[in-house]
Amino acid sequence: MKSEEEKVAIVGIGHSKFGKRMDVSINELGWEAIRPALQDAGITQKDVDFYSVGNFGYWSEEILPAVTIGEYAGLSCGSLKTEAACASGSASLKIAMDSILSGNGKIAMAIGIEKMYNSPNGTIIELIGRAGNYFWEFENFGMTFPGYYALYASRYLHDYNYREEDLCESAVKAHHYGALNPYAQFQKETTIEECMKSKYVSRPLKLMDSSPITDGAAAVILARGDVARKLTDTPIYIDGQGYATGTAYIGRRDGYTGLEASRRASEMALKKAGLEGIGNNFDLFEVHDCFTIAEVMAYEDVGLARRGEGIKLLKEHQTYRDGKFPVNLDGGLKSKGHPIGATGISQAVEITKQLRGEAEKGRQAEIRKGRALQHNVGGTGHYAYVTIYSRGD
Amino acid sequence: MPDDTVIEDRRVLDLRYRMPISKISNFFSGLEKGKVSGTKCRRCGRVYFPPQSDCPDCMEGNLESVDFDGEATLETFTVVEITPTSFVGEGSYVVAVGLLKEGVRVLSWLNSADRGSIRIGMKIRLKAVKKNEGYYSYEFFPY
Repeated sequence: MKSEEEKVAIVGIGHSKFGKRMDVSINELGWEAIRPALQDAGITQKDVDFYSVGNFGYWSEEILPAVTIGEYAGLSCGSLKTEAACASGSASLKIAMDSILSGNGKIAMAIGIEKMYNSPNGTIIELIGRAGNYFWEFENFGMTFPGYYALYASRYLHDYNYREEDLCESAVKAHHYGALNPYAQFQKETTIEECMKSKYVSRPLKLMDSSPITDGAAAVILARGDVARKLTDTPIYIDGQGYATGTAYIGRRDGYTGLEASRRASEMALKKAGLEGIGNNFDLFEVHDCFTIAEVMAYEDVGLARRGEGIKLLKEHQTYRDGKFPVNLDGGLKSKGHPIGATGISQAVEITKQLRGEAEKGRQAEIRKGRALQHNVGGTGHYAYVTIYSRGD
Repeated sequence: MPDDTVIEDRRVLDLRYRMPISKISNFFSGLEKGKVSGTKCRRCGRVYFPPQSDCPDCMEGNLESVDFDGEATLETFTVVEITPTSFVGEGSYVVAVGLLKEGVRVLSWLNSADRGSIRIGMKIRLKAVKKNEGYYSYEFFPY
């Protein structure tokens, strides 16, 4: 049993509206998440011992976002920027958590932010397509982010005999919950037909299989267990985090129906949290659904479904709010939006809201176990972070 | 109409990298002779593609070059319809992963006149190609 001094808990959360945010600069967008996080925790900037900023960058002009955002937000303690592609937010969370667990501080802030629309779409497609193995995959072959996941989708549909319509089930669920989330980029339902009619991006994936380009920011305040208890009645503990790095070159993967790094990270997280497996241990899950196929593979990699049976869970509505394994009740990356570096922190904010019982009407999970799991992938299984949270009651 | 809520950057950055290849120069000279190659550890025999000059398993350097036969099986593929800005003008293209009979996988374009006939599991062949721009690359072709 860990003492309170050996634990870390979330004591404050903040989240900006996600979407095309050309009304704000990167620093102003960061403030939209930092201000409510500080207020929620009931602390001021001078109480923060360290902060980290998950950000991929390149498409926005500031090279040192941790510094420009910190200056704007009145933060001057130690800081850094973390990069783990689309899992940069989870990497930010890790660093902030470790700054406390190492004994170097009592309170830390993990921020995640991305300002993608500061560049034109073509540049964004170009830059995100380079996020694999640039020299051997992009230079000569022009890989794109949807292209990578499409390689997995082709093989998955082939091996398990599913159709493109089946993948669209994931988009329908995402939009159902996105419609209920005031912070989501797309707050409207969609249908299998609408998904099937959308244009191909990289076959077999279509526009409606894909998460959008998004601007957004999210922040969480972490505190050492004993400090957390003084700050709030509802600390959300981080019980364990697992992580793994996959190969850069896609040809060196062990197969194309799941992400090996995701599986390793999940096993590590469960072990650190002292759990045997998924079982009935969780009230809800946040999984990395940057594409519909990614959500299906996540179910299988995390252990919600056996290999080849992820789509079955979706079709049976087992991952809707009232199903066996509620997943992405915030709309997921697909409907809430996917501001690369912000996504991991946005997932942490959502889990905190859910475990506190503060989610919006129609999308609050029933909290029985008081425990949730977050799965955040960087690139196409290039990085994987899985984090387990609990109310500790 | 000018947008008075956004400032369009007046500073333009041309990003063009210079990428060292001296330790894997055999790969590039091989392409010019029509060969696609990987590297092989002299100690453990592990074959690498992409070619690399060091074997982290054995801490060995100076790996030897091995030419591939080219025969492969199609593991998976996609047709990239929305292409990056720097590939505009190529149209859509097929990116494939093939498992070579030497046991390593390669990602490259699959150059097929009949895209409708592409099937996972089909036999394909990896060949060195000279691009219109004058440089050498490698692509899969139907067997």
